[in-house]
Amino acid sequence: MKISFAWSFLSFVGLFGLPPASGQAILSVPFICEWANTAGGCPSGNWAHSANCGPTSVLMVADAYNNSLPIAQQVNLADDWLYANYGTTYGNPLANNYLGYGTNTTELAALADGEFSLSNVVAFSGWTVSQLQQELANGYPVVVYVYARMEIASHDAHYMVLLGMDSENVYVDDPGLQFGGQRSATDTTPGRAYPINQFSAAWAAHGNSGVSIHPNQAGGFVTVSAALDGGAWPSSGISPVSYSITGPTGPVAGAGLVPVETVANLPPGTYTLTFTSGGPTNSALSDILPCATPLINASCTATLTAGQNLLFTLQFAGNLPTAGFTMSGLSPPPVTVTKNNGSTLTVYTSPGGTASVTFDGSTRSTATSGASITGWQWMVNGSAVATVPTFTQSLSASASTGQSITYQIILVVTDSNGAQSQPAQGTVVVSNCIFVCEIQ
Amino acid sequence: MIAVNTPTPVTLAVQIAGSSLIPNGVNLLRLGAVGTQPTIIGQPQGNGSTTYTIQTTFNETSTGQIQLQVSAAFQGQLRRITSPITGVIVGSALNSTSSKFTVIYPPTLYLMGTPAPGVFFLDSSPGGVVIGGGAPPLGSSEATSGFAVTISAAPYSVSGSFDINQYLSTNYPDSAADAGAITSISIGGQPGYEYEFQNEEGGGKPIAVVYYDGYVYELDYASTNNIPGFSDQEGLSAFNTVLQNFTFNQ
Repeated sequence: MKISFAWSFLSFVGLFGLPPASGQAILSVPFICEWANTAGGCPSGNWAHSANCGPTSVLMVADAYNNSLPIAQQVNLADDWLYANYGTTYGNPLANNYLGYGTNTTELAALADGEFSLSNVVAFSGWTVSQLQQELANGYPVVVYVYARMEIASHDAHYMVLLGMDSENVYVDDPGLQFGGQRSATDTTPGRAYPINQFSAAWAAHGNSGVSIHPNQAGGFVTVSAALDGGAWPSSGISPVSYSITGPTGPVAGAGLVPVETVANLPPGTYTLTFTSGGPTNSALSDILPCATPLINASCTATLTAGQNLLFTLQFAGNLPTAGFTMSGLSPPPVTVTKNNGSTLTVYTSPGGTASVTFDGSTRSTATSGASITGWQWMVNGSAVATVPTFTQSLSASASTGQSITYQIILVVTDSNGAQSQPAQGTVVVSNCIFVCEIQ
Repeated sequence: MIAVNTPTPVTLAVQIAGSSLIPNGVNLLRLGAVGTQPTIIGQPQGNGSTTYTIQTTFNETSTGQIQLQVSAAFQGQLRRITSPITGVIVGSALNSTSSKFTVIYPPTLYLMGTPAPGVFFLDSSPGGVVIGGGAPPLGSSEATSGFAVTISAAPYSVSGSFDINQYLSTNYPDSAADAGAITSISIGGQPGYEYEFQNEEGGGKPIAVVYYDGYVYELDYASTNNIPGFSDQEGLSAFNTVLQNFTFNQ
């Protein structure tokens, strides 16, 4: 119950991601404009004189972590806290109607800790874009020190909340704009986009600095993403993929959206993602990272460490080879019976004897155009038995009359491009009945 | 305004009425510090009317203001009559060969360098001014109160004539809708525009734009007007001075 509550609530105000055009996630934080605490509030208050972008950015991140909506009074409280703790450099808020005096990153980091009790915070400088991307991938929005309108020429030192990033744009929520991350009250765009080069220049002019704030939680994040042939999928928009996740306290989430969906505030422990359906057309689920391949049962179990992000990646492969085979063995009077994969072949022998069954993958396995099948991996009841297209296996019968033994056969083929097929499965039943035998 | 360390010819004209004015009795004086004697620069010459002119070349070694006064001798008066004091501001020149412009900025501004290619900060404090929601780190020489004029030049392609509305919607899609009235002005002899963005941090301050020879030039004013007691009067004067002394390199 606790987990499902967190899930539904986060979809309301928290770190529920939506993908931009390139398929990366955009986090979200609850918005409040930095002059909300002035007469008129948002959006028509004293925008022309407010310098509260720093404390308001911290407030937005803090309230995202605290699952609450920011209110104007919190901006005042942040200003009061700054004055109480940095009185020599931060002016008296009462003296200028709580318009703020400007803040540096050290003050903002202290504010996050002292006012909002978020102790896992650091004022940074000299960071790289990769470090920002890692923060975002872990589900942490970042307070970045840039310029108003993301333009150095504004000469207006400014803080925004970085929500997402792809190869073309960054996506921010901006307390210095009347609608923050959107362009109007009805705009549902997830984050205001600026070209990444423009952001990089504005960020670099302030020493690539900002404030990294992580939530106070013993648990961590579980993130699900998807990829097709090694690239992010989908390339645009969002696509539903059905899967389930179970953790130490039970089910976490049902059907989800990919490429990225983040579930926060989860306790550490073992989590299992099981894929159900969906994915790119003309493809198959090949792996679920971080688990090893080959994928057999469409699930992956991994451990979430406290405060970390456990990333499951549904790896889909297109242009796959197809595995298939035939199974041939003797049945009375005797006659040779052949069955295809996906069905059951029943063969007969005396109690305690062995039945010879020939498996042939050469006629039913296919490579895609321009490729050929180069690898054969046969397994019987989970044990590798052969790496050739065709082979004959002796399968034992039970020594007890009337009892049958069932064998599960799996073939996975690999093509000359290195692509691996989905497993083809078949069943062989070795019967030892003497008097009456049903030929299937 | 003239530029420091640059020999600059200046023509001064003065209107002097009165038939008792003694010919060759008009002097142009340069005033010095309080208590010091003024220096006679030269004698403005009349042209038959009441206008007396003189051209002189200043080559100042420091920024500031040259204070000038005209004195005239009249028949029947023992003491020379002096005009009101007028000043010639000595500013600094910023000549960007790459961005193809020159501007003379007043002594109330200091060139901070280029935070990005084609962007020039002119701040009211020699250590720079932090404006907006940021604040300098402890120990920084940057001021927390003041103003700045930023000049930026960026390549810009136009088909036909420059369209300010198109420029705004292309470059500031989020702010363009909030731009206030756009005023036509002249910048460097070219048609330019002045406007203010609204409803955003940094808004409410003038921005001037002019297109010339494949570049768009922006001149942005910014100030710490969130600080109680701060007045924009001096800063806006500096901004307008920069606008008036902005020229394009040929």
